[in-house]
Amino acid sequence: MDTFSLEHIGAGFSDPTAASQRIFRTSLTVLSRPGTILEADSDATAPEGIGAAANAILLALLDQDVALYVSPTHVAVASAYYRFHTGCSITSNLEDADFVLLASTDRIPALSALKTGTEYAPELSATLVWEVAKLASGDGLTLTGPGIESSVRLTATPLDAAFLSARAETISLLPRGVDLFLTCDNRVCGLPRSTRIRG
Amino acid sequence: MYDSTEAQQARREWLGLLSRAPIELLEAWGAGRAQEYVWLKRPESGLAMVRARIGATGDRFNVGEMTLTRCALRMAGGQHGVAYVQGRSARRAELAAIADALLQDPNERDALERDLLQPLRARIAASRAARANESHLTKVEFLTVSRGDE
Amino acid sequence: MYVAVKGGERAIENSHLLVSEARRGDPSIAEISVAQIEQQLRLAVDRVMTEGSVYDRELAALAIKQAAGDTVEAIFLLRAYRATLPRFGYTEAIDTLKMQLRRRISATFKDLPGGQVLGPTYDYTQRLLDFSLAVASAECGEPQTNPPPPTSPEQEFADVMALLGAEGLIEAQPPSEGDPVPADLTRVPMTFPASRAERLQNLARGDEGYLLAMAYSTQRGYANNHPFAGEIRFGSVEVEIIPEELGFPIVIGELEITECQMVNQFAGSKTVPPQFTRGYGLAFGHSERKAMAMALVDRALRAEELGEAVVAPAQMQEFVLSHSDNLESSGFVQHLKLPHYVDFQSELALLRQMRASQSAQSESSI
Repeated sequence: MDTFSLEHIGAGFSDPTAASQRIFRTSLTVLSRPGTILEADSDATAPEGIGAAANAILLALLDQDVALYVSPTHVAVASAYYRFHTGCSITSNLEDADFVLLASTDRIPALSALKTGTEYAPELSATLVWEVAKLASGDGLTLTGPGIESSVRLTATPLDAAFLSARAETISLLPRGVDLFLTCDNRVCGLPRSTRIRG
Repeated sequence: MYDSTEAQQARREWLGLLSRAPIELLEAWGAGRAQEYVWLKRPESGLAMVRARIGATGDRFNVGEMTLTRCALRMAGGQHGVAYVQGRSARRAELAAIADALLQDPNERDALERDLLQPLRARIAASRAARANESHLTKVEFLTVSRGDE
Repeated sequence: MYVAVKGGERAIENSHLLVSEARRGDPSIAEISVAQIEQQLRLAVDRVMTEGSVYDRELAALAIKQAAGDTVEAIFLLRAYRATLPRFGYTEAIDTLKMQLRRRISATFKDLPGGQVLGPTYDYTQRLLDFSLAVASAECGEPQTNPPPPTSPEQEFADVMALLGAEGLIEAQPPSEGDPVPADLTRVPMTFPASRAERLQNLARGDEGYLLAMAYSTQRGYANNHPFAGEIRFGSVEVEIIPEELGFPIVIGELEITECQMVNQFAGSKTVPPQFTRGYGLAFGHSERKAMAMALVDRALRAEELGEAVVAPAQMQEFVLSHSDNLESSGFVQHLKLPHYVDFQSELALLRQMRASQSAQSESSI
């Protein structure tokens, strides 16, 4: 069996039940109000280089039934941490991942490589947790769709034109698709599969 | 972390003993010991799905779950202690994890061996022997009944 | 017309109070403790653990107390509590051949290494009500000795299946190629046809009364079955897991379990000489009737695999496995107690309409 050492593993939530419930609530809110930016802090000690919000969301949402793909930037320091605290498995294939953790410096992945679920079980799709360099309300992108009254503006670097056009193609797959959490430090914004994003 | 299989065997044995340690025995040992440690994972109760084999030797199948409490901590001295104990007692898991960490410290090992592991081994052996003796009392001794010279 | 119905809150609250009072009974009589249930109603605890599908004696005893002794309700409570707990993983397969036996009998071989060990059983009691139990008493009496005493407390018990297997007279039961990971019904709902592993998981948590009736039907001829109790074992077994951060197996506790190996009618083909076939039952605690019934139903459900005609209910996977769970069956039967006022009104209206049109027709035909 592939084992790991506890040597460099930081603490998880000190109160897993309460923290998971709180972060779950936050995740649900940002996904149902796309473009809204909320704080998602926790008392867990995140692996080196991983933001507080991305870490809290992963600790809250992962369990032993899901496979996590960890960004090449973090894979060495973070894999054991999430395996130990959540029981999830780690996969090196994007195609097999239920959750994907990306760093802001990573090459933007091909969305077509990710699981989009099936018509019968659209929930069997990948969720992307993406640490971005800049995340702010206003300017930049225009979001429309369910959960947004008219439209919302969002600045998220580095969501570029190539990514947005690939993302636009997945809209036709509904109810299949990929859900996105954009994180920056301790802040998170949700972009569910149903949100239309214009550059 | 594990320099030899011998060290691993020893740890495997004591973790198995600690998982079955009654709370009174752990408390009697742990009472008044002020240990400094940080939690890596606080005691959490959950379930493990128990597997068995079809016909004892065939394919695996899931029988049902059992309750289990686990935790992990790091002592001030740097050793890591883990506990996986049957049932739902957070305190049992905590004391077992402290004992696991201290048992990896050569300076503490002998005292723990004497105060905790030996009593535990004796306890498990005694209960096994008692059950075996009890069962033996209900072992059937068949007698052959002579039916004359048919 | 849809009429929203509200109200009944006070009635429900008062009903909660009444059920608590009814559970407690006469307050001048000492309250039963969870520990007493755990110790003195052990077989009820075992049933609730088996069908509640959680091995935890204390939780099962608490559920029995809360349910006022209704085991099906207690099983419901335990399953509901289970749903609040995180799943940490799977254990290594327990090795039932290494069970420390408290009881082991075989109905197929009289003399076998280890012998017939009766253990605590009601089998040889006369089922006469024992009025001495009506008076509280601490004395159990001393067992008579049974010479010669064992040289070692740990005895070697032969595995009956291995005895037959050595001569090739019973089907072998090695793991399949690659020792496949079994599907888990608590994670992925069952689809048909179900693998034997899935069927056994379903039967293990299935209702004892239901399995007993199914098993009985096979004996009465509603399936091609001629069983012998090859071996019945009750004892305790160590259970291990492999924590990822350790990478080696550790014992996390001991479980009491009951195992039944049924030896059944032989089957053969052009390629396989005639040999006995097997049915398997396994349950938490001392649950002998359950384990035996499970083994018979397991064997009946293998009909297709063994090339037998599927003609009886006990051989039909969908029938047996879809109705075995008493949480589901009890829930669906008892949901009929819930208000069906609107459904019923619509049926009533339809009935009146049918009658009206019938009488209109008969009038017009005159």
